[in-house]
Amino acid sequence: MQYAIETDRLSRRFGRIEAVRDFTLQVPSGSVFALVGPNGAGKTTLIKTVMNLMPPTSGRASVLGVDSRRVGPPVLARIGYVSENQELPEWLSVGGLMNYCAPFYPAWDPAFAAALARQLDLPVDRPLKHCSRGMKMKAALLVSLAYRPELLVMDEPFAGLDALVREEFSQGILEATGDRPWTVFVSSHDIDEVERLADWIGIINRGRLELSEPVSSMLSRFRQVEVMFDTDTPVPAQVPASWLLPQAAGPVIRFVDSAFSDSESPARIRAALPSARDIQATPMPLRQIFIALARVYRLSE
Amino acid sequence: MKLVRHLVRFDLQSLSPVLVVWAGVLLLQAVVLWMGPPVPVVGLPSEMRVNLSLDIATIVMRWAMTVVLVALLVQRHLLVGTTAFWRSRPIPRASILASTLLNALFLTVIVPLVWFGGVFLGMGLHASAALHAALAIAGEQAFIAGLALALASVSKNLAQIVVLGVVTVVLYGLGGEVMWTLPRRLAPFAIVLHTGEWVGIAFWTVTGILVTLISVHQHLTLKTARSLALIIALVAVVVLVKRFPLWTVTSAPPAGASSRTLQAPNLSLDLESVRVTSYPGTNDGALQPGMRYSATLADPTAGTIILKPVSRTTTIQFPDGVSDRSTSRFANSWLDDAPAETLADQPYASVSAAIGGATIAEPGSMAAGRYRFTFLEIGADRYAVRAAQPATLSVLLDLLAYRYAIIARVPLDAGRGARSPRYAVEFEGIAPLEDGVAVDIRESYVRDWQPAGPTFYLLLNQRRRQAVVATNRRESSFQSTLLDYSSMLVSRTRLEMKLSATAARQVTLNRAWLADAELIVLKPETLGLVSTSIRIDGFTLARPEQAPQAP
Repeated sequence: MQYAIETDRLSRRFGRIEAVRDFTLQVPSGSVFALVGPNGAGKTTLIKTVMNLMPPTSGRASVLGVDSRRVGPPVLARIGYVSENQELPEWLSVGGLMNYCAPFYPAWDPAFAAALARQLDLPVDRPLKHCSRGMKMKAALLVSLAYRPELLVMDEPFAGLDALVREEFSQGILEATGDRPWTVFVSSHDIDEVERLADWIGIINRGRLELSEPVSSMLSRFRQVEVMFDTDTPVPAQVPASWLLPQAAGPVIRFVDSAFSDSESPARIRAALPSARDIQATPMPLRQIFIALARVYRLSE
Repeated sequence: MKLVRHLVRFDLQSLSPVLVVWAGVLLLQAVVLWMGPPVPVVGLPSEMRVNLSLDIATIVMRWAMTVVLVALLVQRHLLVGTTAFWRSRPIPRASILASTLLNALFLTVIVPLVWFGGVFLGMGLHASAALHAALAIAGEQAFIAGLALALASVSKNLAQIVVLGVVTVVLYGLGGEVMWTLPRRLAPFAIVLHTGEWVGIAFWTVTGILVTLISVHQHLTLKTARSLALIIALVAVVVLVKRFPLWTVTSAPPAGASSRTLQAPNLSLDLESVRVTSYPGTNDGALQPGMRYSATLADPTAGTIILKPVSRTTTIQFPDGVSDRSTSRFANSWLDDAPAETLADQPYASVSAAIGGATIAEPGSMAAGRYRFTFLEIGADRYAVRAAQPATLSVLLDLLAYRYAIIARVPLDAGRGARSPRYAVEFEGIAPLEDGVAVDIRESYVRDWQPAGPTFYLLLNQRRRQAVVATNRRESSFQSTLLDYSSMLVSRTRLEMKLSATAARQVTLNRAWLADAELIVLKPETLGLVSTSIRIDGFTLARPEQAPQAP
């Protein structure tokens, strides 16, 4: 199976609002795919549609090779699901939740579950209703990992968690992964939260998939470019489409090059800006890339 | 199945604090039921009001806890919604639904059935009677649980259930008013109510439409499981609603009567004579002044069977083809003369016969002897034009036949008791009165054990062939439930056995007499319906100004 999740022109409409529009995505098997987008971009709707929690309005999706509309207990036994807005059986303790969930999964590993509880520093005897939000999320993660799912789907798992819990949570996922080939699909509105985990990024904006590629590819092609001139120079009327957010500040023009290449880009820049005195191209962390893209999307709207 | 068991077990475990409260409510109701009303029971004394209030309170608590339990069971597993925990887990929807329904059934129906069955057995009832009474409570519980299930399925929390419940009750009341009370008051619909057919059709139609609308809505919103729960609940509601008095309408048989026709070859009623008297009537519009025709019948059954009028159908056919037919039901009052002798009047002479199964007569019934009764009341203005025309008059009489049978012989030892199917009695004590003795007893029985006639209590001294009849009858009793069809009754009664001045010369109710005595409980035993007809040819109506004449 090449893709753990695959969607083809998937749409989901709520009345007049189209939360997900013509969404075509492939999540490669074995990847840790982060779907990033601002609040209200359609991440949760997409995940719920993929998980068969709601049917698509049009298009199709498949999960682990099964049409999303047919996702039922047999497929769910192979998927872990953690969501910020999932109802947990709060009348149970953490240990009770483990005992409650165990019989649902043939592959449930009690020893692994106990190890996860220790690793996530979870109070086993404490009722969920008396647990903090972070503890609840960690408990949800525990019961989603203890059977070693082929696919872990997480919808905004870090929202509202403090830095320490976020670290424990991420660490838990990373350690649980180990050397095992599995797929993680995580959505977030903040790229910082998933930067450590993800090796593949998708960006969703207003229900559309704007970008989907490996993190390494993204990091290599995005550069913050500063072009220095001897005198004040305005941004030319025509610039390459890959130059994002060009700005002039006195004798400096700054932009984000979304198609940077060490071998070709400097020559291309000099061709477009012949009076350039110096060119500096700085690698961008994912967070800056995401912010830049978000501004571009906003401007284009 | 394994998953269902797992879910059932977890739900039960998680509800344990609530289940403790539930057990407490059931226990409390059993205690109140066991206590019964205090002695003496005359009318509804304040002491009994306390018990009655307690009883009603425990019933309301039981109903409320049923709603709470069902609500918790249904609503803690959100069956629908994209945030429901189970929906992202490999838990089949059917398993969740089955476990919820099983737990609801077990906790709110089976447990009360078993519990109250045991309580009733402990109260001395026969197993069949205990089961009958417990089943009635279980039926009542199923009704409440079904309603709660339906309400919980379409609401998110207990508060919404309460609001929906109030709305449902109001709608039910309004529906009942529209479908039942209003037509009852409107003459054109009288025939509808007589058969009950249209009420039934209307109810089923409305229910069917509701089920369809809910199903469609639920399916359109992908709430299949809830829809299923709702429909199951509605079906349960409809089935149980059929047990309400609404359904029996006017075709209900008289209390205790059997619908079978009694085959009693030695029983017949013959017209002895017909006497026509003037009938002043009233001017209130209901009865016009007219004439009264009476007959005297003789019962040749030598008083072994008591007959109680149930209905009569009178038909008068005139030569010109005009006829009139009328039916009266349950009209005890049209017996003009009560039998002259009653057991209370002649306790000593009648008792040995009564113990042998002979008749105990009572006002309103026909025992051995002759009776005179009215069988036709004719408005003068209606038939005045046909006065003096020889008509044919026929009267069809339906009479309930019963006799008294001993249902319990209780030794006069404290704590000793006796029982018969659906009835248990326990002797509690005896106290002297100025002119007799008072016997305290405690009785338990299911409501529909209530006989066609009154129960008689005697103190019988078989050796001396003497008996004293209780001069007061049970005047009040203690219901365990509020719904008519599911009552288990417990009563404590002080029977007053008083001697008249004449009787006191024959019987001395001293310690020695009582040492040989036992308490006898006699209950009417329904035998069936007896039908007989009278036909009078050449019956002539009198002119209004003349006294009517017999043929």
